[in-house]
Amino acid sequence: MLVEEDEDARLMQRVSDGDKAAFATLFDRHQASIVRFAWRFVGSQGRAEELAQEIFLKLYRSAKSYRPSAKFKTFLFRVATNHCLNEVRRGDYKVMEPQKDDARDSSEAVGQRPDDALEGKQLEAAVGEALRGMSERERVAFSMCRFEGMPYRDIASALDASEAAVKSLIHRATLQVMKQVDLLKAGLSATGSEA
Amino acid sequence: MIDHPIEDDLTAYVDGELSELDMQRVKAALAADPKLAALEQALRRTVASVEALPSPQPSQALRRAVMNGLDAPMTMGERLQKWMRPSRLMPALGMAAAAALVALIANQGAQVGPLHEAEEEQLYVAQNFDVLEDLDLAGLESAEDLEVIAAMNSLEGTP
Repeated sequence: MLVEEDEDARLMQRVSDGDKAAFATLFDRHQASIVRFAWRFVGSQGRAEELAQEIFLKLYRSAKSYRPSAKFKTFLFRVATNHCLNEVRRGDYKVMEPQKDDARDSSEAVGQRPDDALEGKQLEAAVGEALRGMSERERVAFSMCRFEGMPYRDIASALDASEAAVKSLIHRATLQVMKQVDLLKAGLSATGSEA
Repeated sequence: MIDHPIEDDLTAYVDGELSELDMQRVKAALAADPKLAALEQALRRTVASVEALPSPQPSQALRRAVMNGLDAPMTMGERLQKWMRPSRLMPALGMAAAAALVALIANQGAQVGPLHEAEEEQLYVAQNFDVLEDLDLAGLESAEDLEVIAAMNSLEGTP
């Protein structure tokens, strides 16, 4: 993993020399992560891709100023975090309000049975509700941890926070999601017993 | 009654992010406290559910848009729009105010004396300390990224 991250930093330095092939490699390697991350902010694939496009173009245009003082992925997520938060604060986007088409597409994409897909949609809605109730830092830390699998140390670096603070943010955020999922399950079991 | 310091470590325990010593401490607490053990199991189920959720895959259109955008210069409208955003306008107005102050003092000439170059630099640094600090932290030096960087302080200030 370390070798690959070092390779990212080397690629980024080649990008600063105008190497578009190096940029394409970086883009291919990280585009899915950035789209997923942005999607957790805006709840729409189309809007998430707009944000991802802006983030990568910003990265390319800033390449000359890049200094490999941190892991490339951490640096990228720091830029992505601030870009997404700026856009959400500006009011162009709202946090995680999944659109019906997107929810249907994501359920169908994994080939779920209709019952499972319904439950998946409700679970997604519960997670979205919890995300909306989180502070910005909780939401960012939770998304990096749960959806990108980033270790606490890297999240701390991306947020310029201590690992202890990140541990606390992720714990509080996970408890909030757990409560929403519990509410969902309570609702489902009540519906089931009525039927 | 759940011991709160141990409870605060539970998610990190589930994520395998604790030191060996803390891991052993949590394990002992879980063995001794069924309520804590139930919470740990609930956290594990939640984490597994969330991580199993489907997420979108990027479209080919995104790749085309980004690669085509590499050579596209920003339009004048886009540049103006970017510079008129409050996050850029306010530091710019601050710099303009600082420049006006420097000019005013310089015009007073013999009465006050010209600012040394180092002092002017200090004034500039002080005026824009937050932005410059964040530029340094992120390893960026380009004015193109002021907007990104300017939000970092507010992000850090969020509880």
